[in-house]
Amino acid sequence: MKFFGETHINFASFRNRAFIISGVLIVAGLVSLAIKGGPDLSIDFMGGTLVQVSFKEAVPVGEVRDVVERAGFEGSHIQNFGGPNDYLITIEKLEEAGRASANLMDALETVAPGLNWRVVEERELAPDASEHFEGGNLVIVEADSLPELGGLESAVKAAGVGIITAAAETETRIAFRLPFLGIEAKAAEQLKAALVAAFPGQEVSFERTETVGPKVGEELQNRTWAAIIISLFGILIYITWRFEFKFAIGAILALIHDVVITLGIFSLLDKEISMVVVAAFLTIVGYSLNDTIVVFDRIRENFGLRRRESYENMINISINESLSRTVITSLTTLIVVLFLFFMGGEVIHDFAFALLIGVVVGTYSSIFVASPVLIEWQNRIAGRLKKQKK
Amino acid sequence: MSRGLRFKVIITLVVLLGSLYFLIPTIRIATMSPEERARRSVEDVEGYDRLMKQAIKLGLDLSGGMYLALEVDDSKLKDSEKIDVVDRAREIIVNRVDQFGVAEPIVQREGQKRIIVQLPGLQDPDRARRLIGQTAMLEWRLIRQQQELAAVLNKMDRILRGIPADSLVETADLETEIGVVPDTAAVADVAAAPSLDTLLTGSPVETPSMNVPLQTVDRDKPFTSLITSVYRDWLLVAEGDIPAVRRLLASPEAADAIPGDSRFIWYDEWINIPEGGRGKFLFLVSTEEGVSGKNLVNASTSPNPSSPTQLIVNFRFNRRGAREFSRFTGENTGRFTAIILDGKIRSYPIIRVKIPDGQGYIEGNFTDAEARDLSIILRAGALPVDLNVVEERTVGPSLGADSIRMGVRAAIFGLVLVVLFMLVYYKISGGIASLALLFNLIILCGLLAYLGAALTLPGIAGIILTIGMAIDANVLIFERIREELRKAKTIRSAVDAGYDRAFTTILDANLTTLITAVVLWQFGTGAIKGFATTLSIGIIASMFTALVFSRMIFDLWTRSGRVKKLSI
Repeated sequence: MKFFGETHINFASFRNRAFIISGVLIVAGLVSLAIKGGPDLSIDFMGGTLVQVSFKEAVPVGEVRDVVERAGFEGSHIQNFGGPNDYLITIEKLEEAGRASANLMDALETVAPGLNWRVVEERELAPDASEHFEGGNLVIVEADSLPELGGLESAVKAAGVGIITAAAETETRIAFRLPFLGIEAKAAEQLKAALVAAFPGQEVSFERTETVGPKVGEELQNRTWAAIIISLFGILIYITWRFEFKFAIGAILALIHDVVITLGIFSLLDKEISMVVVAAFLTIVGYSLNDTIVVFDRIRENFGLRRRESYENMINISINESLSRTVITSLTTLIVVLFLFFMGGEVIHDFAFALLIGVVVGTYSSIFVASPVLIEWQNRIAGRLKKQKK
Repeated sequence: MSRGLRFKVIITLVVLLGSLYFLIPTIRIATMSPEERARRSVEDVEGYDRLMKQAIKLGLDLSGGMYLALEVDDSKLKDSEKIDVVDRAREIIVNRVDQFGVAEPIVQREGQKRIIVQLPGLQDPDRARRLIGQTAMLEWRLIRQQQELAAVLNKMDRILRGIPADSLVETADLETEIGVVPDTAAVADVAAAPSLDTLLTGSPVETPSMNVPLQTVDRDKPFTSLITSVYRDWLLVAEGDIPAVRRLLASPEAADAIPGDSRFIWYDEWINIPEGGRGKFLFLVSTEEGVSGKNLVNASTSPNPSSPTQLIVNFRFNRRGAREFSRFTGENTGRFTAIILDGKIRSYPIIRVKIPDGQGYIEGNFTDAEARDLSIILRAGALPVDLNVVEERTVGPSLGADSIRMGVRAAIFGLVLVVLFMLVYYKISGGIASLALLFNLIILCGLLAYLGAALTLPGIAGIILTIGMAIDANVLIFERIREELRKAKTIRSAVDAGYDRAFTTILDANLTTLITAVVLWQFGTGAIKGFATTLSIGIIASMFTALVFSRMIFDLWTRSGRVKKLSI
């Protein structure tokens, strides 16, 4: 069986149209990203809390939202997860000082009641305040008299409020430094308790609970950037070594093209970028590259064989010659990615979605972006060389 | 058979048999029924453990369990103490984690100050967080005796008498402890413990009949009247009175009544009051450290010799600690001590005799879990640092099971469709490519088992992706062979040329993908590492199966020269 005989499609002549299509997709994505202030990063990168709850019987999203908001988590993101029985609740924005001091005051009233505790000052502390500090809140409290500080600190800790340091400021004042995460973990517990209480006749189970500190998230962001930059560099060096520098440029531009378009589509569809989605992006990089290299390889080979052909023609011939392989590989990959997308389950859904876009865009870019870049590069340099000769 | 071909056959057989060998434990476990698994895990513990270790492990997202990232806060330590603090903390966490009874816990150092803890299958994250994350500041302190206690109570009453009664007994609803189940916490009515030499008896040995009842409400005794009863050296406060007592103890007046060398500390557990209801013990404890837990070297549980259904907690001090402990027990024989961890009383044994060698045990009405937790707490005494949780992920078991089921189903459907497509498009050659794909999966799983890498959900996705992409090398080769055949070459030379020409393409295409996979492995955490692992192995395996295995089949097939038309 054969899909293609010998094809003679003039891909090179499509390149201006292709540049326009790509341009439109990229600009649309970038505009969406600009409007939304960057990609919608998940708690993996931003820090925060995620709770996946599963009800035995279906519950409308409005009811879940009511419960969550009544529990004091306004502005949290509630998302249907597969069906009306499962929800993903994300408290993305880290709790402000208000919740920190509320928890602290509760604990103080319990372990040392009757001292008229009051909050004097509260503010957020940046994660880099000192090297061992993962970010948190400063809460200064005042009381009529202070109990012994060491005992108070351990009692408050025992009551479930994380404390980084507690220092006496004056005779009646203590400055507490509270970690974000203690609050977050507590918030997750409060949220769970509220959900269980709100649906008494229901079986409520919690499939996933994730809490990420802001410093951890920030580090992961840095590591992800490092991973992306290092792999791009590795590819640049490898292709320059095996081919030529302009091939490397073509390949890298195609990769950036693919990832920016996928990122843009994620932004347009309001999908979140989690660590797993980033892994999908890097897979797209690998896949698209694979595709691009196969075409490049043909071009390299034809360089030696068809010296008399024009550059543009040669690239056209090479794309045509590897066309059936490109299509078949894309097809087999698409088959499994489609199964992953439709049957892989909700947790892997966004990952599969990124791959789906990536496979389509990656195949397109290796034909319509990477190789045309070579032509443009060649034309410009050839043009410049001609000028120099004159 | 030419030398090259024979070499390929041998290599292929070695790889195939090796992969299958590594897969045996996984297959055996996968084919066991749950009952069989349960039976073997009891009857043949070592053998079963070894089998589990050699089988493909599941990541936390698939097995369910808890992931914790802890940061060591050494800001309170001297420089000299900071040197190996993370490693020591890790050791102690390993020690604590072993007690959870989860299979294959992982505790690893990450970077400068972090420790990653993975507890597959753990379903009580609260308990884990409490046990792992707490600062272990362990000490033994003396519990003040009845006469001293009585003096403080009298003084409290005297001082507090001047204050209007209603302002004191106003019991605002401050009692907010949640999650304490009263009927599991009863320890007060303990049968008298046997007295053995070198024995510390935990929990009260006194029978409730020895109570001194103090139930008459007396305006002249604003503090004492709130006390339900006095056990030997401590107080019992009924639930309803606890907030008022807390309030009184925190008042500035109380500070005058309580001597500077003593402090009131509550016992955490609820106690059933014989007359009905429940309450909490309140101890007057010395503020002076009797013995530091820092010198404790070991603690363990063993069956109580005199009552084998119960556990006792054994402990041992190092030489310095033994000296301290010998002096402490010698000076205070017959008195109660409080074992305090982080300001909380965890046990209050009586000292029966002087313990000269630093080895003793604590006996009490423990449940097995309580005894084990106490021994863990004792051992943790040497950990001097704060551990802050910076990341925490818990996955329920059903989510993981669902993920596996769906992942495997998606993989099988994808595989079947890809194979069908290849058979239709490339006929017999497509069949060879499908065999290569199957071989690829066997190598992939075998290597996963051999490397002990955990299979995660993204890892399964990596395998599925490999199914799609592994076909690529074969497609490249087949298309080349078809091209060569169009040039009217012989079958043999077309196959040879096809493989030779496709070789560099396959190499370049796969190596560049491998670059991203390796970088991903280097920088990714947890689940992502699993993805990078399966993808990398998949790439290498697919190069092997395409260039060696499927080539070998082609060579064997076309060697005779009898094949007139290549089915491709």
